[in-house]
Amino acid sequence: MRTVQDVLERPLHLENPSTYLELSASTMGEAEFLARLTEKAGCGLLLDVNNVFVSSFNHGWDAEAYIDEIPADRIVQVHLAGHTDQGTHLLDTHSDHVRDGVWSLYERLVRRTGPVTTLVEWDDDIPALDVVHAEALMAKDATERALGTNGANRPEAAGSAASANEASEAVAA
Amino acid sequence: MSALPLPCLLPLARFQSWMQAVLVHPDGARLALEAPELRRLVAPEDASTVVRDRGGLDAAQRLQIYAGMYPLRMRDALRSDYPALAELLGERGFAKLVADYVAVHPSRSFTLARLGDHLPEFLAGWGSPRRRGLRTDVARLERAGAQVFDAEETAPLDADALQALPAADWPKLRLRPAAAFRLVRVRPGAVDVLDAVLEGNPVSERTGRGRVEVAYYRRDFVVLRRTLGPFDGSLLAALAAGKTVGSALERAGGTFPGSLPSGEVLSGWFAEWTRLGFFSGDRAGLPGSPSGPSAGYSK
Repeated sequence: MRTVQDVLERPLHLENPSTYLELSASTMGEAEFLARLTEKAGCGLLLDVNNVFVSSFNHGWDAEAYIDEIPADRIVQVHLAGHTDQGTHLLDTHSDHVRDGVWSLYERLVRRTGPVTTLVEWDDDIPALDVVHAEALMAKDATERALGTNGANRPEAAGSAASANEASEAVAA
Repeated sequence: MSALPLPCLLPLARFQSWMQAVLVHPDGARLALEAPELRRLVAPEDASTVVRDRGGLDAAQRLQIYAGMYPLRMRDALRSDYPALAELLGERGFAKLVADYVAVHPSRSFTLARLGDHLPEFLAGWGSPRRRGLRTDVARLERAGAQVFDAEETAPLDADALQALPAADWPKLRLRPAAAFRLVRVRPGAVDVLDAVLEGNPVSERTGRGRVEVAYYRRDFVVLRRTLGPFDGSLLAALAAGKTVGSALERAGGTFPGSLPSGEVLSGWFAEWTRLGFFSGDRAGLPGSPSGPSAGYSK
């Protein structure tokens, strides 16, 4: 990662994938892996909250613990998307509304990061623009809910844009 | 093969080879694990020590999720480069083509943009002989368009320098095609298929009579297509093949006797082709051009 960033002279941001199998040889969880990787490489993180939800379901992880373990100050952008429930597993299909469980994880994350650039991905069975736009506006509502429920909610990441003053501005927005 | 230790520390290269082979196996993941070539890498009974077996899905089922996605991904990649061919073959026909093609030409590049590089040649021997030529021509056109899209940007031939060339120098002039230029000779029906798909109309399997030359080129990052007439198509084909202007004119004149256009028409064609960026200015060797006389100018 450092080599590529040096060659490109640009910072890279890694995205967590949706996964459907784990390797027995793994010695650490994904959240810890990403935390260590971003720290050592000095790169950013593009956190796909839907992928956290999907992978956690597929592997029996604690999704909330994952969100809590991710280094908030490394998160440059967040992705949200819909998924498809196959019963035994979830598929990251980007073909539907963002599910309630994903919104909950998103709010949990925003309480740590403060306002963060968020992208709603809808790549298949794409509805009319106003439907997708409404989904994006729900991210705005979720952010305001996460930051505005009580005065004790402050983003914990020292490196995030949300200083005390900025958090107040976000609440007022 | 002896059982692997838990947790399985399979060497990365061996794991990658095994997983790749499982995902592309035509019989699906569960049967793939039993295949002799895969048993040599990982014994079937050891699969659940490589892949963590948890939460209701066993190792074969988890691998099958990826194995199921793989052909869909290949199909999406090829459909994006060959949309008219996909329309011509229909959903089932295209899916069969993709499965057969990828079995012979699996992805070997870091980019799926290269996956369909050999598709036209593959089509020449695939499927029913009926309309095979039309299918192949459609694919050749679409590949030309994709190649022009991805081609590097090269300096175009200087139109003023070309027009300033003395008449006596023209017969020996050799013009180099631009990197973002392709000329394809196809059945007219293939062009009709592409036009129908672009316009959202039903496609026809009529091949049409004879052959036409079709030029793909790029202007302001947009790929454009132009079907040429008999004489200008033949002339441009000869030029693109490296013939001098004089030889190209002779060949076109021989192919279409009595059709030699006037000097004014010829001059107009060259001016238009130069304006559209068909020719490269690199080492064109035109007198007065920055690069000066070179291998591009035949004396």
